Amino acid sequence: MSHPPNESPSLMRRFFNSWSIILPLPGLLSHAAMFIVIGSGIALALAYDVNKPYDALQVMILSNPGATFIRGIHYWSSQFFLVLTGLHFADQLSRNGEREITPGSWLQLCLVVPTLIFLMISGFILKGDRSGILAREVLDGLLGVVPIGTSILKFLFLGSSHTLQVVYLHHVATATLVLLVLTLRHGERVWPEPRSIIYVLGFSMVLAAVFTPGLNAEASGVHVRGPWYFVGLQEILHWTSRPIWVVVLGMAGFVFLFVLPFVPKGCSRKIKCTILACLIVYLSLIVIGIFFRGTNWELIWPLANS
Amino acid sequence: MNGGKTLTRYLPPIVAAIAAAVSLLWFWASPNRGVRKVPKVMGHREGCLVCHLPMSGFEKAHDPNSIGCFSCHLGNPFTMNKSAAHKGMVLIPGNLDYASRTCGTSECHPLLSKNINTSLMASGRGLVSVDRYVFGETAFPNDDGHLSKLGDSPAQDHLRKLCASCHLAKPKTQPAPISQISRGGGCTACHLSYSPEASAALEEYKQTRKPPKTHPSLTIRVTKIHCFGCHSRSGRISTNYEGWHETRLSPHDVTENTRFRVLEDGRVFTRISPDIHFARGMECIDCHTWREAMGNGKQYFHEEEQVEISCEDCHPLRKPATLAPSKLEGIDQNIVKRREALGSLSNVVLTSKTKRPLLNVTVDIEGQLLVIGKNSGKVYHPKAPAAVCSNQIPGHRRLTCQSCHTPWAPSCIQCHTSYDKEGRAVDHVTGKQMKGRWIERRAEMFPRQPSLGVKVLDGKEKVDTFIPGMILTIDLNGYPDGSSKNQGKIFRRLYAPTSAHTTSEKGLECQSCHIDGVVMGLGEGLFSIKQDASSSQRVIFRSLFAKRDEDGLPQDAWTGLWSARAGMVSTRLGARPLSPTEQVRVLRVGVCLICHRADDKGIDKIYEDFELALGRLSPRCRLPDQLSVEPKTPGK
Repeated sequence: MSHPPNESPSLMRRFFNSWSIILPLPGLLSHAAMFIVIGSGIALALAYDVNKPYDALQVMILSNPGATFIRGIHYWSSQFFLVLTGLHFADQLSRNGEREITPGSWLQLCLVVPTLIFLMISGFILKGDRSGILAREVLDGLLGVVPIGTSILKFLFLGSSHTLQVVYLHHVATATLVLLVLTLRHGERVWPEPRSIIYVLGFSMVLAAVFTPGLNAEASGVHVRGPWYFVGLQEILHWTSRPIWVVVLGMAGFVFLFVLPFVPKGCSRKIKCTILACLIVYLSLIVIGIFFRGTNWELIWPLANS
Repeated sequence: MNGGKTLTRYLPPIVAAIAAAVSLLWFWASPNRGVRKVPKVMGHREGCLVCHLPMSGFEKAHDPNSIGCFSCHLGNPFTMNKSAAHKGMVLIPGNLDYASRTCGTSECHPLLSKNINTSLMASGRGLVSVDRYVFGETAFPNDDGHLSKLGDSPAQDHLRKLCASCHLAKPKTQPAPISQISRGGGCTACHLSYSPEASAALEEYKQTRKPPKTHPSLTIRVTKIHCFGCHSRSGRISTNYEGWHETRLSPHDVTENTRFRVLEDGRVFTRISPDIHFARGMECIDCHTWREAMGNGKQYFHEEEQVEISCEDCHPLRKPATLAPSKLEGIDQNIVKRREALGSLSNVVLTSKTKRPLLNVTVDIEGQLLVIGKNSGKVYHPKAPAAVCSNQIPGHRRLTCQSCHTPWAPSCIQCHTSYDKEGRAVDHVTGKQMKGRWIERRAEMFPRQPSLGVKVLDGKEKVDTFIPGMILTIDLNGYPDGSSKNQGKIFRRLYAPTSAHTTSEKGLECQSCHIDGVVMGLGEGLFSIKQDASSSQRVIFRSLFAKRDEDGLPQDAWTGLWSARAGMVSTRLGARPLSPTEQVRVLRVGVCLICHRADDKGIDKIYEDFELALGRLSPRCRLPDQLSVEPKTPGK
């Protein structure tokens, strides 16, 4: 236990203690989710065509139930991976785990965050539908506000605007390899725990069958949202006329995360509280974006569109 | 205890594994998974077409083989599961609430779906502001308002329960052919056309729930039937146009008789003379443009501001401005492509008011102006204005064409509106039954010549036709709003400008205006010239109707003889009845016409310099005293 013997455990520690009674730790589940995502992604690549992504997915959804099911597993396990990785970070930070590893290892783990976000967004872009195209445009816009090396950055991450080749390459190879390298080194095992695999795969299969991930068919884009974790960003971009602040805040978050082991514990605690507060605000923005925004991002009452 | 730990450890993954297996089976068992080939339209696949093709009834532009089902009806085209496919579907795609996602997407009609919201046919803006003005809720009849966004003031409640069904923004809720009682439905209100097969398919669907195989067509062939439902009410221009005048008879009062016509809503009409354009076979859209109907993006208060055509466009006094079809842009260009009859025109005439193209009006190589029926393709040869119009006889420069070419308009001279708080009525905004209803009791409507009054158009005064828009009392005593301003009785005597759509080929006789009480705004009655004891002559007007206590004017009058009415006199800002000066001008000619008929030989010379002619009056002719002094102002 990382907290002093006479100090009662924090709310977050109590949450993770209860979690561990019924479920494997978030880190183990996240590890399993990563392998399921990679495995299902490899299978999915057989039915995917990067030259006509939108059409390939339509044909898949409408006439290839096997590939659709695997796509569902890929989608849901990736959502689990994102959430469980976040929880794993929270679990470790709540027990000051960042102080138990070397600075180099910590830097690698911090780099998991942007890599994972890029993987998630690139996967969303690869749908090739209206929402995917808009997500690509948003990412392109954000890279465009970086003051130096804009065109190189855009080329490296997104490639030509006419094709998704580079995005696809990063999604299935570069970023996935980087993620594997960054994550596998810090863990105690390479292969995931079987029980965690069953959990994540089981839930992913159920969700894939019941909530088959679809495609956006609207042509005009008046009713298009990004992926749920992107909606908070959309909300921020709606409010600010200077998207550079989004990039600055994102980098500041990364720096604050990275310096945690190197500052006094009191200061570290304040930074963690600040990060938590920012996450809560971001989650609120996601809720607003999903439930309170309608056509052309206008404020509406929930269910007004239904 | 160990058993419990084992259970905690292994039960969840076992449950997860079973659930996964069941879900896998369920997924594979879901319907229509055997589909191998899915049609591609508008750049995407559509599962809808697997079930719904073949579907007949469409014109080429809206053929589902080209645009699919999703483009209009939304839903989810990327699933073969029926309920998932139909989730989020819209039954009536033209409803303006979601037209921007259906008819108005960037691939289809984005400008029209944007502009339509500014159209008066969608908002009823002028209607709302005039009603609120009459109820005393606003200071001017030019105010903002929308029939879909009404509050709960007495005027707005009045509109909700009586008027708010007649506008394009009212959502249509059930598919049905366009009829006399159809209301709302946005784009589909005008552009949907049911063939007999489509109607039969709809009826069969209602009974069997089997998906129909014939769809109503979506068409630019808008017919008078589409306009009739809404425009047979209020100003009743659709019925006027066809020569029908509303009576107070009930359907039981009339036998099968060509003199009468019973509408689907039970109103009984009697035959009067139709508009010459109707008699020649012209439809509403042969004159009116898409910009007038669907808006041009500008917000107008009243119909006469939104209308861009004028009689002079087809009956010009001078050579009209034209445009080569190759220079047409956007929607104009598309319309010409869609309408076969317009494809071969060498030029199109521009409106004199807005300089926008009239796609079916052209000048042929001989300089003859032609109008092409947009639906029929029939060629019309509009007559040039008569010499009397082109010569601009003195004193008539301010007159609009319809001042002389409107033989009749329905005129209602008395209406009483009260509120029954115990009654119930449908709120046309929400579609729900609400407590309280408005009761309108009106007198017989007369098919009589409209009055002439003055209105301001584009900053200039014009003499135009007016009808008694609102000679009414509003009894607000029953209205459940306790505030004092919403209590008591309101009396109004307002005339409204009208474009009656009863155009006659020949202009009216001079005497029908110059010595007519109704036309002069005095109401029905007789003029006479009386000589008094001092042997001076005076013009007397005896009205047919009794005077009202509220203002001392006869029931049907707009103004009194020699009296000027100002302030709240019309439903339009700046509009007014003829002033005493103008009455004198009119009657000075009128009294001459008693003896000297307008068609007498050489009579024109008198009017070439009327003042000079009056100075040379023979001893037998004598002007009444009130008319003997030349009025100074206003108007020429």
